[in-house]
Amino acid sequence: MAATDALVRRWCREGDEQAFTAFYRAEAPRLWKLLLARGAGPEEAYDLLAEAFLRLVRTVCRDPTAPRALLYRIALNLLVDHQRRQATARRLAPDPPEPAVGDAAEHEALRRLVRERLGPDEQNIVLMRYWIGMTHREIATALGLPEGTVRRRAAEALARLRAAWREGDG
Amino acid sequence: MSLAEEKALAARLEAAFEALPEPDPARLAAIEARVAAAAHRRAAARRAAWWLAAALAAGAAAAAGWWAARPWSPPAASEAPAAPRPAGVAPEAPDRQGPAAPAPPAPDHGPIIYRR
Repeated sequence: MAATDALVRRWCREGDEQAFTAFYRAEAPRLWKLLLARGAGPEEAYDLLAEAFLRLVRTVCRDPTAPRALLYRIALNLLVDHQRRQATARRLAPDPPEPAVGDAAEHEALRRLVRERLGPDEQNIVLMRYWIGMTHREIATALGLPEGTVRRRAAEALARLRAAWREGDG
Repeated sequence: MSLAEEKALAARLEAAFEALPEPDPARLAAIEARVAAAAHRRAAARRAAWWLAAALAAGAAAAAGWWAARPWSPPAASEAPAAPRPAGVAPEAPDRQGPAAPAPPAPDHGPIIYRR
């Protein structure tokens, strides 16, 4: 499990609030970026981040075995609910991305590939595995999937991305 | 896909998503204050619950000790010991003082339900 998980467990066990603050500082920036990568706007990402941490505070001490996985699970569920509500409330075309050059262009192309070629669960798996660096078990806990399924789908998604990337290069 | 290819693509993915804009530190600090306050309240509530449980347990233990001591009953040493029964004497019949009391006579009329 993640190194930051011990901080939450300490907060649950001893009431060490500094430990929880350290957990927040370690996880919040990357979670905000993940929410952005998964389609939330910057403002929405702040709201979802706050709500995810507040819900984590309320629930995590019941079973603090995998706090980071639980945090991501809460945040992604909130994002799905939010996107569902948004889809029914209004349909706005996303802002066209600014034209990028060099590394930035390659980064944007790869991010677009992830968005367009992978389903929502696969995007979550790929981002949590290859960007955030979570273990298969953590991802399985976060997404409520069997660990073997996560392992298989991560490999499949990466192979598909690889093929699409080659196709784009060629 | 080979392991080297997988690692190369994973590194590209990491770079691509790390390149996303960073969150505003002021916004994160504002959220941190809210989260820290909630964490403080939660920890305080858990501490209060723990103390309450400890106080209840201590009270229960004290009550059990008091009950065991029975301060309202005379001390056991002042009670007269039961006289030993002589050998060969049969124990008394259990609490039979005489012939059984006769049953009350049955009423010689039926129950009057209604009389004009």
